[in-house]
Amino acid sequence: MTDTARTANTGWLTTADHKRVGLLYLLFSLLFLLVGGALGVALKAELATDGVQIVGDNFSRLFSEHATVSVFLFLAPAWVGLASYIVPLQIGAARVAFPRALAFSLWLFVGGGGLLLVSYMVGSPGGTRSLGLTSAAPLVARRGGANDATDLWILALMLLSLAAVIAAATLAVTVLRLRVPGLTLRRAPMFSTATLVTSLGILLATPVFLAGLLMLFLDQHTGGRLFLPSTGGAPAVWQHTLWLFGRPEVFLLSLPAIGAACDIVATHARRGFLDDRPLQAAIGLFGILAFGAWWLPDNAARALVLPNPPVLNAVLGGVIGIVVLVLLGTVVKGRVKAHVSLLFVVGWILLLALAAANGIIAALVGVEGRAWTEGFLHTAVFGAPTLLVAGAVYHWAPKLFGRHLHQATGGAVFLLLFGGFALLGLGDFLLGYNDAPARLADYPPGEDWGTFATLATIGGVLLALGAVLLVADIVRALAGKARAAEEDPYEGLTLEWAAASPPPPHNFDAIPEVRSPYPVLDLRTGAAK
Amino acid sequence: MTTATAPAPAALPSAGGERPRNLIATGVALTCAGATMLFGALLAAYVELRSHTNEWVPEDVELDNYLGNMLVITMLLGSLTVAWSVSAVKRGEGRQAAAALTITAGFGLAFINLLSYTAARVHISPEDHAYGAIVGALAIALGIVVIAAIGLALLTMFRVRGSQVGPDNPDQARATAWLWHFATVASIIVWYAVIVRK
Repeated sequence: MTDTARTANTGWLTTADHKRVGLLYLLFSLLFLLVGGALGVALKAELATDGVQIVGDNFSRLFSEHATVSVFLFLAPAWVGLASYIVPLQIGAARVAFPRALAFSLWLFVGGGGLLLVSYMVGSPGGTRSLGLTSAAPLVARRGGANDATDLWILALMLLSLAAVIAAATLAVTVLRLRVPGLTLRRAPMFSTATLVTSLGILLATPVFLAGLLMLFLDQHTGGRLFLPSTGGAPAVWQHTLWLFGRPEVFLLSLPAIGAACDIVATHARRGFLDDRPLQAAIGLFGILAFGAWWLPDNAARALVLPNPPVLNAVLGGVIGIVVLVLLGTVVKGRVKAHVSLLFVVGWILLLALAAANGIIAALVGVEGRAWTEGFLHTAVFGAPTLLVAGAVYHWAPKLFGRHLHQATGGAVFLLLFGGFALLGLGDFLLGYNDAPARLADYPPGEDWGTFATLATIGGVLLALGAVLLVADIVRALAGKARAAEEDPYEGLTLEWAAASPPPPHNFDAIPEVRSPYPVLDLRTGAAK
Repeated sequence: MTTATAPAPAALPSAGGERPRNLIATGVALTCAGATMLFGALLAAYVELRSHTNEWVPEDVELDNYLGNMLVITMLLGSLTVAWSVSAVKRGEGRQAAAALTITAGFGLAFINLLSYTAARVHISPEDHAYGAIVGALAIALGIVVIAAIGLALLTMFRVRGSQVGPDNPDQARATAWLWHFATVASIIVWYAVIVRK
């Protein structure tokens, strides 16, 4: 290895450049997606038909691992990665507010993620029947102290939570304080606005989880003094901390997707939004409503994700509806140039519609806490935002990799991911309506759930294939085998399209002046003069 | 040989004016908001656990008002000296500011020392009862915040000595004061819940 190559490699390990940190966040999160996806396929294969034994007695452990890895190690850090890379470019900044803190959060995330996987390898956190975060019940405290797996699991989640808080603080301060002169919050791009609102929400919700983890650690090492009723504890304390964190979190993970969808549509429609005020209001309202999900605290003991109260569902649906209407109007009035990322936006809307329709049905028939919950998770909470992560990668690939990702491959990735999430969700919803319980390793004899379960299994396999294809397309671009991208390949509107592809370390050669939400469009049309 | 000159790429006009500052102060303010949620969760757990038993405080725990009061007074003194450091930074008195920050960090270390002494003296053990466990959790959280405040005070002190923090750039000194004041308020609330209201 040459000295230059060695220095370059070390540079990636010690970097505080927001672009490299963002890219590393994204790549590690995709790596963890493959792990979570493989676990999901194994679990769904177990449930495909009666009598199949693939994971056997490890079902609870792997179920917990699949859910925890998918949310904590993929979805949340993937958004952090994209935001770390793109937001400073969108607001005309040369860096993030605290570059070293962001780099520190990256390695906390990687270390925490590694520890989390190790914790499931060395044993089962909380015992063999424990479902971890997928159940509201606290881990069972053992006499004589916690096992190694439990200690590692709690430590890993603490590190991941700390990483999330540090990254959220850095991104929030970046948007609040490092915007280029002229770029008021009202003029900020939607993805940056959504990142700000999400970061503020994460900053408020995650410390509650950290408090819960601290108490869980003490509980595990004191034979259940805090959460076990027989020793004077109260399980509601854990349930409520998990509820207060988890309910907003599942909505906050969707918020950057709204921002990304808006920017993707406006860029490829090659015009400003029909009206950006409703979009900004929708993003802000969605952030507030995420905490409105604290409603129904009596249900905290039953499950982390339940159908929302009908009024909240209606308001959330209304918020998304406003976004969709404005985006449709923008497309109709714009000069749309086809791009694969638009497919992901369409898929995102369809998955949310599928989840919303089932939310209404669930409210009418009174489904709670059964396999329905998994369907809601796989479509609205995880599926729709994941689809938009992929869409955002295809959209911002010229900046992320300096190259275009392959459009036809992108189409295949879309079909596999969208089809996978739709089938998986549909199978789970139908199982829920037929009274199938959630988190079940084997179906009881006499139940005719095979068709729905097979549907969900096929969905899981399609998802795994889609994830592998997405990673392969990214690796191809990183290897320099994809088509090189120009500075502004889409005739973009916002400041990231004024930077080179990929941007230099200092992002911009001159700090641009901004007099509207669309400075690059202004430059093209001469309005900036 | 001459080569055709490519047209200069369109460049956005350069913006003028001062870049906004107060990065660290904004970051610390947001962190304090998050830490408020952490203490809120722990205090809510304290109240919830208290409602589940008649024996609160447990018989074997000997709460000591004197030590509890001294913990709060130590933090209040630190708040005074950190406010002094901000004033000194704004007046350009670097040596005075560095001294004030060093004394502030000293008060922080005294607090940590007194906290560990108090825990041993009043016989609070997380293994014995829910009371010990939740008070232990509160003490750990408070200790972490104070250690962070000490770290920031020392970092600011070095940056004051290195002229990186001064009258033209008092952001970090102000942020240090905010974090310290937050730790003081948190210690007062914990003192009120555990020592006064029990």
